[in-house]
Amino acid sequence: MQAVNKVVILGGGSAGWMTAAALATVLKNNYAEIVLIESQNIGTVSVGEATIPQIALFNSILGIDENEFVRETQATFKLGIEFANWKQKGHTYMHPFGNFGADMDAIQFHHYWLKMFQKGQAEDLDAYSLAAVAAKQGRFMRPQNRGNSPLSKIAYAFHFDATLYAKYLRKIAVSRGVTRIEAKMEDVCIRDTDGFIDSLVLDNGQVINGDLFIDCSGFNGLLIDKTLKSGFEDWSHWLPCDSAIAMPCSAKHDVYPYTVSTAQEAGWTWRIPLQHRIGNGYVFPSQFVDTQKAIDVLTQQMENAPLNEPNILRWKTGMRKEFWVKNCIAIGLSAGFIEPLESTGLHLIQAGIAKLLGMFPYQGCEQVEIDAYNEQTRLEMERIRDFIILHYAVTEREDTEFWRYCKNMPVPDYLRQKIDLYKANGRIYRHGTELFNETSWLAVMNGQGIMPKGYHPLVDTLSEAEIYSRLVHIKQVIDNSVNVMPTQAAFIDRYCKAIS
Amino acid sequence: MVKDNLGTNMTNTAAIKKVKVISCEHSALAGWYTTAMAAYAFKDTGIAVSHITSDKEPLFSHGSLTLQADVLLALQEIGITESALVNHARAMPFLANKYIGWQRKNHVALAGLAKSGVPLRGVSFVHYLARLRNETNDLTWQAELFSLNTMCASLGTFARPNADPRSILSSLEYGLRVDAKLLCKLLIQVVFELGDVSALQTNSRDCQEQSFDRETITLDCRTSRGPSHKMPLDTLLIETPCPNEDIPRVDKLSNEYECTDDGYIEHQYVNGCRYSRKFIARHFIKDNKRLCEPFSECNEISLSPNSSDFWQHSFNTVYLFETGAHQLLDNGGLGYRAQQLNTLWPLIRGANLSATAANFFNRLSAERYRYWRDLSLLPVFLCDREDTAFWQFKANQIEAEDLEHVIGFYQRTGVFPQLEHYPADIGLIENTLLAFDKYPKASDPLCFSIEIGELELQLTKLKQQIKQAAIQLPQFQ
Amino acid sequence: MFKAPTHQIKSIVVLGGGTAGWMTAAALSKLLNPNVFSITLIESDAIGTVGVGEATLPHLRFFNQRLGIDESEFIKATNATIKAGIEFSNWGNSGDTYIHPFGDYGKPLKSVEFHHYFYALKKYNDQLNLDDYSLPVVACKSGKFNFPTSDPSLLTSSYSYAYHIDAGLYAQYLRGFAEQKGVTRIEGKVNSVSLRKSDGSISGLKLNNGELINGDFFVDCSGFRGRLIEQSLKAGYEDWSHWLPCDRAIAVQSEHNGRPLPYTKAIAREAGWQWQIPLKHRMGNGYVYASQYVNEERALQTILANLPGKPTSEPNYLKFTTGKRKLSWLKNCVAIGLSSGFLEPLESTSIYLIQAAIMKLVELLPQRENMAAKSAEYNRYFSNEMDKIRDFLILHYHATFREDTPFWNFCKHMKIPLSLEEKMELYKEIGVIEDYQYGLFLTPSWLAVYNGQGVIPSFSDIRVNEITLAQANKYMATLYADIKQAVAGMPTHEQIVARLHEETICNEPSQLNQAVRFSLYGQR
Repeated sequence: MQAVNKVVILGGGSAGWMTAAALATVLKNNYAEIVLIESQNIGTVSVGEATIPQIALFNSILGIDENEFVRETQATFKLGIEFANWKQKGHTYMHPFGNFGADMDAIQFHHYWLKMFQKGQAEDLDAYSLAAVAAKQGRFMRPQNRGNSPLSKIAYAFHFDATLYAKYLRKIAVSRGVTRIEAKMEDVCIRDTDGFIDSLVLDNGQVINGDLFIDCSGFNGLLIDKTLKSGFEDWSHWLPCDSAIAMPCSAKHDVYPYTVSTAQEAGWTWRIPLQHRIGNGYVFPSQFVDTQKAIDVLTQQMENAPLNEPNILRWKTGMRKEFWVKNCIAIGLSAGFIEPLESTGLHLIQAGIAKLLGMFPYQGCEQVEIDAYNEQTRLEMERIRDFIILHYAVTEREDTEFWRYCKNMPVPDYLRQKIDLYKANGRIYRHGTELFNETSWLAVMNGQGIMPKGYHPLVDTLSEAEIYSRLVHIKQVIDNSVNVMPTQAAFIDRYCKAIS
Repeated sequence: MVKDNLGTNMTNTAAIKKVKVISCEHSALAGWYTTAMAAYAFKDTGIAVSHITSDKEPLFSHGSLTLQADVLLALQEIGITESALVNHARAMPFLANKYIGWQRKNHVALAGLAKSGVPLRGVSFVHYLARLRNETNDLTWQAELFSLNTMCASLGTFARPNADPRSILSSLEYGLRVDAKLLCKLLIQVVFELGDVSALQTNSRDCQEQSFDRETITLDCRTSRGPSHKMPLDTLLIETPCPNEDIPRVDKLSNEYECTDDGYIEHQYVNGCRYSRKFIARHFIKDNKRLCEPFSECNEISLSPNSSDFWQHSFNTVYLFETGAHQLLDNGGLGYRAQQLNTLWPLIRGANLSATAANFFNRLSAERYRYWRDLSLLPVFLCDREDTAFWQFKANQIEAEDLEHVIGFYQRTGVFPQLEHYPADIGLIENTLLAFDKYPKASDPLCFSIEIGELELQLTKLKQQIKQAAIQLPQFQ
Repeated sequence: MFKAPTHQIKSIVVLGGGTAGWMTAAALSKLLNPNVFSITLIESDAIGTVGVGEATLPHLRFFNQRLGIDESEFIKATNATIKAGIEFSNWGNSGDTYIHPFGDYGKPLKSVEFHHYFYALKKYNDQLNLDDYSLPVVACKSGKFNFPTSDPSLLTSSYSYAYHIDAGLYAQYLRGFAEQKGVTRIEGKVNSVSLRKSDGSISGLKLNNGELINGDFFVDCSGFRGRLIEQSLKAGYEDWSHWLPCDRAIAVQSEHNGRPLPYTKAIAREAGWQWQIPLKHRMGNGYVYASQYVNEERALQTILANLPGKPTSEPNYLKFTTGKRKLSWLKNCVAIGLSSGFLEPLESTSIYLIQAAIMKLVELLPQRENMAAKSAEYNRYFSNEMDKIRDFLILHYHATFREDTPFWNFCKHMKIPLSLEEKMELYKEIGVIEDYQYGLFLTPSWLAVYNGQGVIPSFSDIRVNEITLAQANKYMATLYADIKQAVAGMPTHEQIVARLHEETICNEPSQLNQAVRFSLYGQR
């Protein structure tokens, strides 16, 4: 076993540069040399990314000034995702960041809401979420230090241009000592003694040795799979979408701080507003929709003329059977792919990096640590997968073959249990370190149309009138709070307008 | 028999008393050559050599044949010197093979007998030439520009090479072409001078039946029985009579090989004569009237392949010229026989005609034959034509593993593999490959130590030197 | 998915710094353009080399010449003595002795080989000894030597010579030579080897100190184990121990018992044979034996009891399996030296095989695009060399009358390769020795061993009849007299060695001509 003195990152997309920047920041004092190999001839998949609030943590670890970051990446703020036509055509709901309402007497808010809503004495769930209400009104500001006010609890993420983000991180990484090599990888060399990767051979003839290799080479997994044969677990029977087209168009002035996901006859389209343009895309199952049809659908939905030719992506949904094999760790698409319905792409990268930093093999790769990493990553991926499946499997739509398939497909046991548990008495429990918390599950399960048979029995200890007045109060506080928020456009103009 | 002859005591148990050489029509030269060599090999050994044909008159071969180093040496040993060949067999030197129309109509390429160019810094010339061609993409850099042999052949100049390594003339090599009939006569003369040889013209059973006589070894030099389609070319047509007049103006110092739609025609020049022969695949000529074209008249001989000469131990018979392939093998045919006979003599002089010796001879023959067959097939093998039925057919006909290896390896590396039965000096093979544009695609890495411009300059100089030397030599005759 | 490398071969890494390693590094540094090629040699002081005092073949002179190494400097640097042959004792029969010389026996007469006359005449005169008709044999027996001449018409050009050297010193000398020519020496042991995914070729070596040595082409001179060719590339091994059952050796140095002889001694023992290689100051000794027939303790006793003088070193124990690497050039790695196969040093072929491999490698120096073709041709060539030498070595064991120990009894009756069986059969019946174009040991060597070990042809070529007994007797007598006279005029080997080690100028003709370079036998 050998100490890790040199880390080689293969691939320079978001995954590569996020990893490089993080390692360069954390492994201080030249603890290990970091090299990143990328080729301009290999396009990155980045198509305008939506993120979730955890990204702020990552940025803060890097010590990034948020306003600068927003300017550099043409970013906008994101308070949630609106799902249109998912439950049924014409229906929309919001999956907002932050909580719904406020818990009362140690009982989650939604139990009260469930009771009242069924009695017609409560508004839609979204009305009790500051993020949802603000988002709908196009308002945004960062959380304020206001004690119990919901304004203290504003959770937000970003929409940004991932290509610009990678560039921005590259600047940071290189300034912190990462060596960037412009080349394509031609070959991999394996140590005969233990099967570890020893070096990468580049098309310029250079041989880059390393102790630890981070595979950020994208779908193909050049190292993790093509070299080390990690294998792949296919999930496309649960998530049949396997293609996307992306086509940006010019921005509107009043950018709303949320992503819109609109279900189509098969698959869904996204709308991600950036400062300089709007990212549009259509995620679809090629089995049900041909590419030209997809382009037509997307073009029709766009509010402005496209800026580029459509960028077509293909993938297979699923994950590697192992993410860390010998001295190679897959981060990003090389580790697995889940469609961007809940903007989890960058989060998975970030989570991978966080785990890597936690288990960094300073003294060499220990199998027990490798096993732990793989186990954690697997669970993380599976829970996200289940959450995504939820959107498809719980629907009232039966208007197309695609939706009929989704509605009737068997779902993973974990998801089944989670749904059943909610259906029974509205109970939601977060499992371990699973990414999506109770709020998220609630938003989607409710939004997709599940109405539990019951609710927490202790809710009945409060009188209906008491509950009713509390709900009204919560709603009022939220509305009042939202009213003090500036529009996102004003906010950006003031703090972090990109220099176009 | 002198009593105190050294070996008497040892060899009196040896069975053979007689060497019987059988020849027949079309194999007269083979028969007489073998008889002469046998007579020499068994001179003063008490073993009788006899030459038997089934025809009434002594037979002679027609046409011409080429003689190269091995055969010339063997002939010299039995007393037929180069000057005897010049004076009595119309011998005329040749320097190169000329290939006409093999790559495209009217295309002419020369392959000299001697290696082209000179090695530079211990790396053979072709590596530099290949490098220059590959890097400049200028395909006018041809090997034949660097050979005194080919330059002299095309200019018609000639002088005997000398042995001084500093002189450019030492790089010249030549072979001889002689009149086959006249060579037969010379051989007959030698046979009788060596004595103890009987020549029989007989219809007797001797010729037809296999002998069970343990004291006699039979060297059967008769040509084969019928055509076979296993060889791409199975029929030989010899032009008769050889025209003495009206030789077209040609470079007489080359043997010419002219590619035709169904084989090729070979022209050789000996003093005052042009001899032409045509090699075809009989199968492809349906119209018998066309058979002889462009000759006015010709003799037809069938050729068949033979994997080897064969020593049939149970009948004490060695089929030496059993195949007609020696005809096809003209440029090497006699060379092969010279080699074979050199191997054979010690094997039958030593002992009781053992099966071990026969097995050894048969194994060696099979291995050697492959080389000689490869050599004779070389131009046909290299030809890329596919425009006629014959040339299409040929493409799948030749199974020459060694040759394929040699050519493939040469084209990839510029190096000849060292095969046991290929000669160490592969000058002519290499020149033939180059004449067919089979230049190596890669060069020895050692030849990259020189700048390309400098290399071009050096080669230009060398080319001029060789040309100058060729011009300054006297015109032949 | 992965592309095979495209750039040209520039860096060559030699693994192992024994005789093979330094010969390779020295030759490559001399013969390859230093502006294009970089050569690195990795060796570890911790890994001992097998150099045990080495007897060589004449080809080594050509190797030195190509490197531009001055002979007298070489001789001084390696404590060399001259070697003109090998003396075999107790092989055909206990008590028998013969010398296998670097030279011819007599000359062919009327295109009939000399030995036919010799055996014909021996029928009349049993006292005739083939040894008397080879100049180097006669010279060896009288402890004399002089440098051969180059005029093929003279008897004194009919032999060649080699050296007994201290191979360790030779490697050291070549190291100096190579380092001066720009070879980088790296001290270290290989920890792991990295193999390219695309084609399985070697990309680099990781040393135990963590250093990484990348290269385009690798020469495995790591000895028996074949660190690269076998352990990494799994080239495979063809085991020949059923024909050559010796699998152990004990080497020990000793004092001389007098003046150094101009030949190596190979003395057959109960289960193998003992070598004596005279260097200038000491004697290299060893016992090559078959562990199946004698144990280590007894082998050690045997060698210690048979030393010519006091031992001057601790015994060095070696283990091997005779055979050849199935592919000695695989991917971008060529094995040179013991890594390419092992043949016991009975005919001093180890350094020759190294040299032949190096020269072939230089001739076939690969580019990426023709690596496969060149390696195939190289393997064909090298395999042929090994097979031919193998047969010749087996002959020594098989052509024996000895049945006195289980080992010799086995050798005498063992099944031998068909190629050797046919060859021996042909000789026994009619005295014909099949020569080949490519292979080391030719007619004179086979004749020496056949004759020395009692393989006599039943028949002679009947052309010997052409001369009378009297003529034959006279011819032989003259030849013998000429040889005796030539040998009488020679200085003793001791004198020559002394002179070589003192003087700076030596007798070597300026450049060996082509015929001599590749021959064991001088001008033939």
